[in-house]
Parts: sequence; C-alpha cells; structure tokens
Amino acid sequence: MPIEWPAYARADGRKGIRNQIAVAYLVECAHHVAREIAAPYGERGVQVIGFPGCYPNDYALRMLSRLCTHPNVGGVLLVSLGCESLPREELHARIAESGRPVETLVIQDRGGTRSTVAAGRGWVERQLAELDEAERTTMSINELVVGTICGGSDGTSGVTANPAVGRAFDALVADGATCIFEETVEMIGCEDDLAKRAITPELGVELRESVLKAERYSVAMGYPSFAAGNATGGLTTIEEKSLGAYSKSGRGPVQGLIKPGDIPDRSGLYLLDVVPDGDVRWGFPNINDNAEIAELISCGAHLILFTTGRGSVVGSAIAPVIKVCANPETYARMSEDMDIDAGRILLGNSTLEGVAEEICGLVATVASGSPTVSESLGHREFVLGYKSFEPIGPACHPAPLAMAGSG
Amino acid sequence: MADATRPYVRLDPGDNVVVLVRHVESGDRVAGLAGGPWTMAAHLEAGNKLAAVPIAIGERVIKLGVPIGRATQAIEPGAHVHTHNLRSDYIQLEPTEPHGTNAH
Repeated sequence: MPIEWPAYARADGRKGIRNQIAVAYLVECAHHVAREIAAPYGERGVQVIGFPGCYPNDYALRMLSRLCTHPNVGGVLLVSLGCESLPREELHARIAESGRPVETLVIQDRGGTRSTVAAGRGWVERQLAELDEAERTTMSINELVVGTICGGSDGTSGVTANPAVGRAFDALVADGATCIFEETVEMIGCEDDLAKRAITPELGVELRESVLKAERYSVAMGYPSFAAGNATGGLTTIEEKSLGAYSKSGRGPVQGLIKPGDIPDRSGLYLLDVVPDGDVRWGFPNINDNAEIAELISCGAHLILFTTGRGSVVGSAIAPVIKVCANPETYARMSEDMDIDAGRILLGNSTLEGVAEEICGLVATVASGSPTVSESLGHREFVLGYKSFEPIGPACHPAPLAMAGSG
Repeated sequence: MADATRPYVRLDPGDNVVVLVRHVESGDRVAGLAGGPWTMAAHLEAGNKLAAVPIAIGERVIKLGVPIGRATQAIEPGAHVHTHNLRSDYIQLEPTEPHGTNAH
C-alpha cells in the first residue's frame, strides 16, 4: 500500500479522505426542505443526513454531533422546522467548535419551504466555493479508520468475502490502521473465541457480555438477525450465520469495546456494540444495514468494507462504501454494483489472501479519492433512529501500558 | 475444489456438509464425494449445503470445522441440509419462507 496519500486537515487533528457538505434535517418535518437544498449539488459532494424523531434522544444528538464533525465533512447546514426537541443550538455550537463552517436555518422563522430552500442553496453555493480552499495535508495508513459490515448474507459470505475482509483487517491493523467490526447479534456462538482475543481479561468479560446482551435482545424481539433471503442463500442457523459474519474481524487481538460515537484513541481492532443498553425499548437494534453503517462512521470510520452474498447495492452518506461480493453468481448478475469479486475464491480463480490483498489495495485507492461504485452510482443512504446507551466502562478501553496511570 | 461434475466444496476436512458453488436444478445429477452420483431434489442456490456423509438424527452438523446445529432427522449423502432437517443449538428461528429479498 502507498505510504501516504492526499487528505484534508481538520482542526481536531484527524484527517478526511473526502471533503463534503452535510445538510442535516433535525426532524422529519424538515427532511424535504433539506433534500431540496441538496438536490442540485449531489455530484459535488453535498449529502443529506438527519434525524426523523421529534422527541428528544441523547443518542441521536450524539450521533449527529459525531457525523457533522466527521473528518470527511467540511461544512454543515442544519435545517430545523423550529418546534422539534433536538437542541439545535447545542448541535450548532459543537460543530462550530470543531472549526467547520455551520449555518442553521429554521423553516418557521424563514417563512416556509421556498424561502428556506433558497437561503440554503445560497449558503451551500458559497461553501462549495470555499471548500476548494480547504487545507490539504497528507495522510498515512496509521491515521485511517476502516469499518466492516455484512448485508444480504448467504452461504457463500462466510466462505469468501467475510474471511477475505478478515485477512484484510489483519493486514491493515499490522500496518497501523484502526479497524472496527460490529454485529454482536451475529456473534452468538462465537463469544468464547471473541473473549479470548481481548487484550485484557476484563475486556474479555465485556466482549462476552456484549454478545450475551445481543442474544437477550434478539430473543426478546423474537427475531435474531436473520432474514428470508439468508435462508434462500443456504444459511440455516444463527450460529452458521455468526460463524461467517465473525470471520470479518480477522484473527488479531481486540483492543477495545466501543459504542456508537466513541472514537478509538489509538490504532488496532475494536468491537462496536450497537445493541442498546437497558430494557428493550426501541425495537430492533438496527432496522437495516445503513443504521449500522452510520454508527461505524460515527466512530470515525473513513470508509466501510461491506460484504454481501445476495447482492446489496447501498452506499452511505459521509463515508465511501466498498462492496465485496461473496457469491460468484450474484457478481455475474450485479457486477456494476460491486467493487470486488470475492466469489472467484469459490471457483478456484483466487484465494482468500489474493482477495484480501485486492481489498487493501482498493482501500488505499479509495482513501486517495477514487470513487467506489456506490459513490459513482449516487448511493448516499442514511438512516438514524432512537436508541439509548450507557457510557462504556474503563474495562472496555484498556489503557496501553505506556499510558498507564495517565488517566 | 469444485469442478464441472462436483459443483460444491468441502470447506474443512472434518465437515459433514459441502457447500454449493453454483445453483443446481431439481433432477440434476452431480458426482458424489465418494460412491454414486447425487440427484438434486430441488432448485438450490449457491451457498446451500448438502450432506457429505450420512448424518444421524441428533448428530452435530459441522461446517468450516465447527458445529452449526444438530440434525433433526437422518440425512443421506447428497441431500439438502437446511431448516427442515437442521436446528440451531442457540436460538430457534421463526419458520422462514425463503424468498430472496430483505436479507440482512
């Protein structure tokens, strides 16, 4: 992999691989106005994110704060209806503190849809001109954060794409990158092995507990993470799906357990726990793949490795998504939506190591600015719902030895 | 490795199932791992599992070298191994009508 590539410097010391404007609606009632503001500028990197809920939620505020101050974001326009509960002044202040240009438009104060859209487009056009002036820097692999997720899994996912991503994760971590895996619901049956990979016994207990929490939550909801398409694709049991999903994490030691919005403070491999804490209050832990992708990005992921067997087409707002296709027949049908053909492994035309090397090469290429296929196709999906989390405890993020005692 | 007559792979030497690398149609005859050919009883997509050896009722089904559940009935070599004859040791899934959309 190249040692360095061009990037965007941010005031908090992190670096971005994209320089985008986020238009964020603060309640569903402002969604249309936000979409209209952004619509003419999609190809210039203006993207819509937001929160549909009208009732207050700390998790949603934290998620929006992290996403609006993500290193791939160079400026933020907040679109408020005016009477929603999300504290827009607080969010605005957090973004301003990060050194980014930010503006808040309140639709009720601006006189409605047309005038707010006009004001928003004016702001976006001025910011687009200024984005070109953003401070450039160079970035190296030890500053890169990569997340992984699988979606539309089938019986090939755990044989080709997922273990290939696992090997790529091992190689990226060895080069100093930060890698994040998640989907504890899909680690049911793998908790013993996961706990053994923790860098401290206390962290091992936390990792195991996160999987058991996911199992309790799944049982309470009546559905583990398993859809009809999984069964059509030959997956029979949750532990079979888990076995495949878990292999995305590679074989390296696990440095910490984080929750949405927690940003790892040093390189290595992390488990992101996306299952809400406390009683089952908010429905399914994640209603779809993009809800999990947004959470990976909230932890600072610059790009996402997305494995699929059945054939997902999604991308994401904020961070590029690299799609790794596990099933050779799916790839033959949907190659325009796939970045990497891992199904070649099944046909004997490549190996896990070969595909892992290809993934690492593409990570560097995409980090350098080349669009992924989902970016080229205009995919910028985003979804955010209600959740609640307790802060992680000290055992979840053991201090490195050199830092011991520094707090 | 899979070939034209054996469109499946045994992922680990200890596995008692193989995984299809391409779809098969009902009535297709494919070469068995050992012994005679296997006749496919249904259309199956890539990723589905076939018994590699006779599997007894209650026996653990092994894929990639680890158990993925237990057989709920005796399974002949070459037969489809899926929700009708394999159950989780963890969470019992709702009966699923496979259809190919909304997979997570």
